[in-house]
Amino acid sequence: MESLNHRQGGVSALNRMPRYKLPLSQRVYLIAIFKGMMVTAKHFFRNVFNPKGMPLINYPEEKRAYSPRFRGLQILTVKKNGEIRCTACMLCATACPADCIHITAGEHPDPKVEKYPVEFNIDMLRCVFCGMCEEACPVDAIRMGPNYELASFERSDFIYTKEDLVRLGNYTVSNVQDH
Amino acid sequence: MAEASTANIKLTINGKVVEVPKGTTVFEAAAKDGQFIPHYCYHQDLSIAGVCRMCMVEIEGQPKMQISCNLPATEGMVVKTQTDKVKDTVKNVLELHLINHPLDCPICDKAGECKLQDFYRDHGLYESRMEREEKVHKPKAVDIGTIVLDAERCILCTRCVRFTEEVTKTHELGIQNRGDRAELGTYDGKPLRNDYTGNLADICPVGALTAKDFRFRQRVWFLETEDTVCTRCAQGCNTIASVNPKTKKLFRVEPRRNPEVNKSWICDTGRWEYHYVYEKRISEPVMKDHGRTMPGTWHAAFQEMHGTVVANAGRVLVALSTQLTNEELYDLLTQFKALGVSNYTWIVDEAVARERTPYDGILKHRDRTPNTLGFEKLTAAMGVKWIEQSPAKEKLRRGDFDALWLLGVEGFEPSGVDNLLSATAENTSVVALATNAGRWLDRCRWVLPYASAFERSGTVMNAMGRLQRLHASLPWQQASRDGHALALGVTRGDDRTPLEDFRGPNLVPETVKLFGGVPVEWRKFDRLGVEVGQVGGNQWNR
Repeated sequence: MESLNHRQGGVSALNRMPRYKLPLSQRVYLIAIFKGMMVTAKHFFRNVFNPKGMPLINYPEEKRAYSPRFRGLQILTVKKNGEIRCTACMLCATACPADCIHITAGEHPDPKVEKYPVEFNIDMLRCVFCGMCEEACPVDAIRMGPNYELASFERSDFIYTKEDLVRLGNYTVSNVQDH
Repeated sequence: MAEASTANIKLTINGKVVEVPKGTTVFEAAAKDGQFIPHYCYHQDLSIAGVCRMCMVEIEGQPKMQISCNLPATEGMVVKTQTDKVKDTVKNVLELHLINHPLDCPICDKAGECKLQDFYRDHGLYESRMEREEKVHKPKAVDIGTIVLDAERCILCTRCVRFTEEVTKTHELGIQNRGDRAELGTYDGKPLRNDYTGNLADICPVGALTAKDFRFRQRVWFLETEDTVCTRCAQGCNTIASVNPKTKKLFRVEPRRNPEVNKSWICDTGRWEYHYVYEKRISEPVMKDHGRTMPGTWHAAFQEMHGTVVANAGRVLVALSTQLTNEELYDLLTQFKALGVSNYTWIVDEAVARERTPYDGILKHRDRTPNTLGFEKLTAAMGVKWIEQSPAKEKLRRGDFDALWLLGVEGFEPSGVDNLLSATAENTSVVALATNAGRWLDRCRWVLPYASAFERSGTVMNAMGRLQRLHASLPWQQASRDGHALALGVTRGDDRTPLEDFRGPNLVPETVKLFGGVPVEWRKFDRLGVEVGQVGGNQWNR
């Protein structure tokens, strides 16, 4: 009963709202339609007589050039010898506000390298492209890359492993070399 | 400190008058007053070395700075720890420590709890004056047994060397060479061979010694800690359990300082046996019928146990493990008494159950259960008659019992279980509430998963009669339940009753009253425990 009363009260309150009376120029809406069609026509004729000025690209074939600071899918860099640069320090995972980086660290056979990521997965369904991981990284191992075409049919495809991230980063060599 | 040196002296530290017993060092006087002085080599439970030079303080009337850790306080001494001169000295000392430090914090497991990081944040130079390119390189990631040694990161505080000399008396570690070539190492490169190696990773203020078990498994800042007590032997060392709150997984057990029980140490067994929480764990109730094993439910188990006890309570033998907390024992004994059960025995290695001192002279007991003395004292206080294992075995062999319930068995190789099972007649149905799978469970009709010591709360009493608090750091793993849930389930005969949360902690006042009360504040008891029995009367008011 209580909820019914509430709803009825709501309806009656709406009914009591004063109606806004439109002026004549708006009630005869043909004027507004004509104004709108003028804008459409202006663009149509401009594109017909000057097709090169059209602000369009044929997307999958043509692509826009983005700034180098663009924050797309992360890439993992490598050392000069081709090994992954990441030391599994977990600072990116710590900095990540979306909690999308999952690293499993392991012992590297070379005692000078000591620690490396056995697993490095980024869950792109969680990633918010904030770039905090890139900022936190002490060895330039993770960067926000240029890739933005991340659509897929499977949820599992959005978990990018370290191999994926190195490959999609075109084996970029890190700015920080060691030893 | 009860002898002639009781005379107190007064000194001034940073304008504050502090009164300490004669013979106290300036460092300890400051610590007593809650004033922190940065340090690396000083450790409460080790001798004083005075090698790190970080604890420099200014004494009025003395031209040179002094190390406070090795400076006895004298009457009327005026100490300053916050002057520019002191800060400048600490900064310079820290600069020296860091000359050859590799600064590989991203790889270093100590990062986050490293004293170099901590003090550099407070006293650092921040702008390096180093012009030399190459640092002195020393061996890295050297395997010395359970510990990994990184000589480059070492700041030569010698805490570990003193530990092996003074605590374990095994003398494995030493500083070799001199000057900036001085490096920490084991003699002849032999691995460590004592039972307390894990402590080396704890006392190392930097990342030179890291425990293999914990290495790279988790960053320390992801972990949350819970103060608890080790249940792997009768010593009851105070510990800290570190759990990742996101995954609810246990990663590390560390000692917690309690000068009365374990100082700052814990044995390797207690430290690294926490793996039983995950390995070979019984995940769900299992029933065995005519040789066939099938998954069961708690409901069916409770129904059957209730049926047995209602039919003839006199023909049930309840064997209670000394792994059970006092609260679980209290709950089980009161509930079973109400059901008419009168035959009780205990599960413990009886040959060593009444040993009261560590066999190695440090911490380790032969009795591998935490609450043997608590069992004896609690049953005495509750007036419960129970029989020792040999008469119990005799009765079992005669076939006096239809059912044997083994409750609260924990760990991979529980002691005392085989002893009872070997005497059990063929037609006796055995129910086991246990944590880990083992061969002995083949004999049981019901195998019920038991919550481990990291999943239960309550009190346990160690071999010295010290009552200590056990705190749960994990939720019950998989389908496991604790003794409280079992007592309730068997009484009701069903699994429909909602479980009462915090049954264990809520019963603590009850059991503490039975032990005669604890004569200290609740908070202190919670943290460090207290020896009960010697002091009479219930002075404990919450």
